[in-house]
Amino acid sequence: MFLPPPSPWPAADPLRLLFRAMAALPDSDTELLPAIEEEESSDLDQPWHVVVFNDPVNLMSYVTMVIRRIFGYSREKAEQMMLDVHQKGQCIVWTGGREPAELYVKQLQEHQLLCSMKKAG
Amino acid sequence: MHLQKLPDGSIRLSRLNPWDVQTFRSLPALADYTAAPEAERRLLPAPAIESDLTPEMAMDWVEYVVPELRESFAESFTTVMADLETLSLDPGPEAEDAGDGVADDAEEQGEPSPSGQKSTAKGNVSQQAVEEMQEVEEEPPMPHFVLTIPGDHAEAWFRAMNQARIVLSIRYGIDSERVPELGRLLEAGQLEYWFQYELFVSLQGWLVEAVLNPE
Repeated sequence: MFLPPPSPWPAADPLRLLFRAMAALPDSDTELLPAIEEEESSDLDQPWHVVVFNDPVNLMSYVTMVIRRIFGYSREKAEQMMLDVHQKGQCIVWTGGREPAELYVKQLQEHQLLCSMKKAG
Repeated sequence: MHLQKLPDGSIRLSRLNPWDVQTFRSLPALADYTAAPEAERRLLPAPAIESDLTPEMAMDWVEYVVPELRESFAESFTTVMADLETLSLDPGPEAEDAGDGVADDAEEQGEPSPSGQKSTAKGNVSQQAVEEMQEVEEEPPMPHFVLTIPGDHAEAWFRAMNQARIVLSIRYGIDSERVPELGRLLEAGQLEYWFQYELFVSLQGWLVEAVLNPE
């Protein structure tokens, strides 16, 4: 029969109770933590645009293919985005959280498309 | 150069002349962005527009993402150069499909002219010209080469040529949206870059349409 390993702390160990009490007490450092966490969280959660820019080298058919491959869009949607890139100079191809946006930008750059992220709004 | 997608998905480049081969072999040099900072910035830009880019984002990108992108770019050239090692002499279309060269052979065989007379290559020309023609004919024919690329290497070839065109575009002002200043390129000894650029455009266009995105 398997027995769990004994706890390093006795159930009523006074030192353990003291640590628990200290951890629950607010002090000057811990008061700052929620604000920092909130700021990081909002930066990551706020929407970012992934933008593809026109460049004179990449073939239009290739740009369409890459947009379809990375984002899974229909041919029609990808072609329209490619045309926007070509005619207007840029096109927002995706909007969402920062981390996926970074991943998409990396994938687009791996395909040598000229692209970047920018904050939405 | 003849391009063909084979039933097994591989790609056959045949009738490659020595210049084609040399151009492919020079792909790593043509695409080298390390000596061209502007080309490097184009291929490895920051992840976000300047106003939204934080120092942390920029540092993380340089530390974690850029090395992977560099490695990915380099892998394309490793693939291309390994494929080029399998280059072989092209026996020519006669050996591939005998009897398919009727039009090419007609003149040599003295095909009847529209007037009903047999034309000859030597008709109405001076003896000196005949000798010159014989000398030309005696020159060894230009060798041609054939290369078969596995289908799953097509993307590496595409990216290698794409990178070369990006670098050529930035270094020498050659691109697909402007009429090149041929005189300037000629004077600068850079005209060959334009021919190379156009070779890559042609092959890339075919690769996208026929191989990478054949729908």
